[in-house]
Amino acid sequence: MSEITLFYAKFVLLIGVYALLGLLIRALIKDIPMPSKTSEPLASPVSSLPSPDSSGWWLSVLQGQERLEGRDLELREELLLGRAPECRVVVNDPFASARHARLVPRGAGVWLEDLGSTNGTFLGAEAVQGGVLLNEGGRFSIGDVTFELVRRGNA
Amino acid sequence: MKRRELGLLAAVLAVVGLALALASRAPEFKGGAPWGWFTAQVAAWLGIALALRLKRIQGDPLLMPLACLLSGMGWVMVWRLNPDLGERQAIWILVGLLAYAITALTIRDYRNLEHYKYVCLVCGVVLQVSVMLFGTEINGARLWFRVGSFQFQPVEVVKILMILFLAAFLRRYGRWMRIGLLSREGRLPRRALMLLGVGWLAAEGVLILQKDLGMALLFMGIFLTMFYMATGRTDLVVVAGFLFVIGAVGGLLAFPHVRIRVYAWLDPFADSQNTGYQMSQALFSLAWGGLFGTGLGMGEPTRVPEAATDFAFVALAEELGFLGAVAILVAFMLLVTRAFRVAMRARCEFGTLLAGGLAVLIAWQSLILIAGTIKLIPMTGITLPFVSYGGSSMLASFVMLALLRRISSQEEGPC
Amino acid sequence: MLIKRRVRRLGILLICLYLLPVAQLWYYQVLTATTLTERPENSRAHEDLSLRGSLLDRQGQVLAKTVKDHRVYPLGEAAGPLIGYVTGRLGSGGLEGELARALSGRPRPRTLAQVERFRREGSRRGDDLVLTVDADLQKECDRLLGQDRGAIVVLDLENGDVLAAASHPSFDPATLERDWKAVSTDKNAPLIDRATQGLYPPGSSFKILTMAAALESGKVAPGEQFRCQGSYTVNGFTMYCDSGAHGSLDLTQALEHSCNATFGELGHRLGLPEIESWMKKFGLLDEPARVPLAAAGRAPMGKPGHEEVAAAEAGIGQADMLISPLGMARVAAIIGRGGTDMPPRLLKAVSRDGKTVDTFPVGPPRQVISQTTADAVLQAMVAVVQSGTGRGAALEEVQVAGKTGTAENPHGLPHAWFVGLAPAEHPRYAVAVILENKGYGGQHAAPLAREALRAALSKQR
Repeated sequence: MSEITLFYAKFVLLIGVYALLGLLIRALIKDIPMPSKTSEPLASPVSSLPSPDSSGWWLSVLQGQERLEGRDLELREELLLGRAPECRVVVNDPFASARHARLVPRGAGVWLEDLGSTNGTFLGAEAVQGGVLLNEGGRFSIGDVTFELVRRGNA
Repeated sequence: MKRRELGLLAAVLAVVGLALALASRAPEFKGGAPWGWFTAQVAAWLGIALALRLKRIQGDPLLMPLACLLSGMGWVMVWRLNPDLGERQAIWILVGLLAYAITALTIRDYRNLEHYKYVCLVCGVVLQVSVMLFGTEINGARLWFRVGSFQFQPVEVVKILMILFLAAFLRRYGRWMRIGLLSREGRLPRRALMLLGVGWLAAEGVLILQKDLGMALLFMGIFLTMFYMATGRTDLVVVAGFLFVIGAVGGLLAFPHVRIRVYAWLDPFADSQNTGYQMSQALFSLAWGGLFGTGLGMGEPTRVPEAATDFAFVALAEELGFLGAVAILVAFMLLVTRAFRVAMRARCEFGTLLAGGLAVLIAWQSLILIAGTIKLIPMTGITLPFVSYGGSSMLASFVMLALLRRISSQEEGPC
Repeated sequence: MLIKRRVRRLGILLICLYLLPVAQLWYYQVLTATTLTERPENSRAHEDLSLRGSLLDRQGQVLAKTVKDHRVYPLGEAAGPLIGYVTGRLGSGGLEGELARALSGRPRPRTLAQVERFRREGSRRGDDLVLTVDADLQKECDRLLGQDRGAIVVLDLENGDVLAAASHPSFDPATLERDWKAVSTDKNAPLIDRATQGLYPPGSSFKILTMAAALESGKVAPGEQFRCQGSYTVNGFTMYCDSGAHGSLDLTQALEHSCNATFGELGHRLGLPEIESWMKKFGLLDEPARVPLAAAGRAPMGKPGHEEVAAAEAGIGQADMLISPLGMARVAAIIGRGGTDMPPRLLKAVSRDGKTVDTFPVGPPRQVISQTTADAVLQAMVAVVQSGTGRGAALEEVQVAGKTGTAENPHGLPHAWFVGLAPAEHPRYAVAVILENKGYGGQHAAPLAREALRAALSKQR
């Protein structure tokens, strides 16, 4: 083989390597829209049913689950949080137990109760032991999802 | 999805075969290309991929093709540099694949590994300490066990044990480390500080007792990134990183062996025939390669000392050129991306931390080594996963790959 | 999940880090690749030694050539520092390194354009370079140096050609790879070509320049008489003549006896700026363009506030000035040419397949000082050899002109200097000799200059 032939052979290899990378990158991009394990968005119909005479407690997702952020949920009665579909708020977080915690509006505050979850419900760094009464602006987290309680004036 | 894995593997192997054919023009090849060894590898890769598919062990379909591309190109280059090492490297790849298959098939549920965290810790510490005490010193660094002609680098195993331990430990206690240094109650996050202290001591210990800057950097890098992943404590990570740098600079000043490498890094041409020889030869090798490379088998990468082990990447960069070197870097990027993707999709925190830790290990190790050989940082003595010659490293790389595969195969299951 | 957010952030960060090696590779493999490849330490650049051209002396004698795939150097140690070396492992140095671009054969094709040319022309041998050096004279000068550290330079006045440039200690390029450790760590630095790159205080040999400058600038009248009382004092600093008071003398006699008092006074009259400008005019402060690797000299600076003392010291070639042997030979040559400078030349021609394809130009001549001044200095230099400090340089059949130097330096005994011209009536060759830490120039350097001139004259070109 002459030097010239050998010289061109190296381009064949480079083209081959890059074609391969192209294949791999294409396979990688195809995967990127992660098949999100669909869970019900946070209580969608509620916002369409504003109740003028409620006690005014709202639950808002601060961070941790983009799909839910900014979509507040009014607390009118006891509310279950957890991974199980029957929960009112489906927390799509691996650290959430099926039935993780519940919230009960109590006029001046909201009662937060951990339902014996595996990984705990946290106020800042402290795990909730049993239950605790939260005031306005109270924050708690399940897994890496952080919630905040907001009080809004009655209409 | 699995259909793609076999197809991609076949394509990768075809390119590796082409590379081997071209590389066989190298003067070092006397008896022709080692097609037998190549066929054995083709059979092993495809066979294992097929077996996993039949066993319904799903998982990320890109991990194996990427590892195959890296190990294949690395093997061709090692063979081209030194056929004896190439033959051994082929054996190591086959042994690594066997280890991959065994790991992937025997670990039913990777989450069980979490229960063995203290076993991992003790094994890791024992291995590491005993190599410091009883290991053989080569080139000023005490990193090997030697039995006859067989060399074993325990640090490769220690890395994986450390990641297993950290993933389990941080999964358990990471939450309590997220609070501020002085939380509202004025309580110190003692566990966090203790863990950081121990990690720092371990890294500095490696640096001082084993005189190995690369390994210390790698330890500290993995440790701090995993700590950050689990806790998000950027402040503590920065402080610990800073302390490590201080310790490292102290170590540099104290050990002539490390200092020489730093000088050779700052100006390899100042003493281009002695201490700067390797680095300046590596730069000449890169320059000689240019944009398109000399062509496989047509360069002179053997001029760089330790070309097959530490400088395998430079040898590839010379013969495949800038474009080929970037292709290798892209392959690493893809592998790391996929490993991070496995971490992102793991169903439980342990899986996230474990896969994340492995991803970080592959990223740091390849970055530190490559940066060291192309004069971005001082030269270090660690290996390039899948690419450079070394049995322990190859074995460890394949075990990591199997763990990633296993974690990704459980994405769908319950936690 | 916050943890996954951090994992993603980390992942993106680490993947971005891969751009650093990409940038670094681009820098070394594309941007600076040519510079790196042409570095003399790089033995890849001229890997195909079988294609490398030869180095020839002015008559076509081989100084360096390739036999099969390694270089042979017929002159061995006699021209080691001048010619340099090229080996597979060490790369190259000296002229072999500096002229690599011309000497090396065409490398393997590495770009598409090169491939096209390769296809048209096939492989081609590198060019041969013809030096101005005379191999026999070079060998003689090397022999003269014997075991001493030092250098001898011989210039041809007609065209500025460097006929010989010997330097000791030396090395044999052919065995350098084997001897590398000893040679490269030798504190006497055999790798340096002292003749063109060695910089030394010129000592009294500089007085020919002081004299020319003082006459030319009118700082001294041609017939002016000086009174030497054995010393000269500036601002409380006194410099002495070695042999006591010389009494009343004119400039010629002052040079003949190397009178420090008189030349100290001349230096003082000239002042540092003027001395520097004269050194510049004599071509001492620039790198000689046609002698590869040759070093430029350094003008005296003096300590701030002590410029006058420094000027007086500079008048006798001390102070903190530095000049190479090639530079001093050039000064002598200018005097010998009646005040005209010809830039020294080491490269003569390029030849390909035995045919000269290119010639390096001579000159152009440049008048530095007037004929009258040059004649006056030349007459004084004749007196130095006839009856002054330089009698050791006298030849029986030909009149030699010259000047001795004994340069104080911080490294031990003084350096022994001699710069000379012959024949004095119509100078054809200039010589500069330095022996490091050897002692008196008249005693040690002058005889070597005499023998070098004898050898040059006997060539009968």
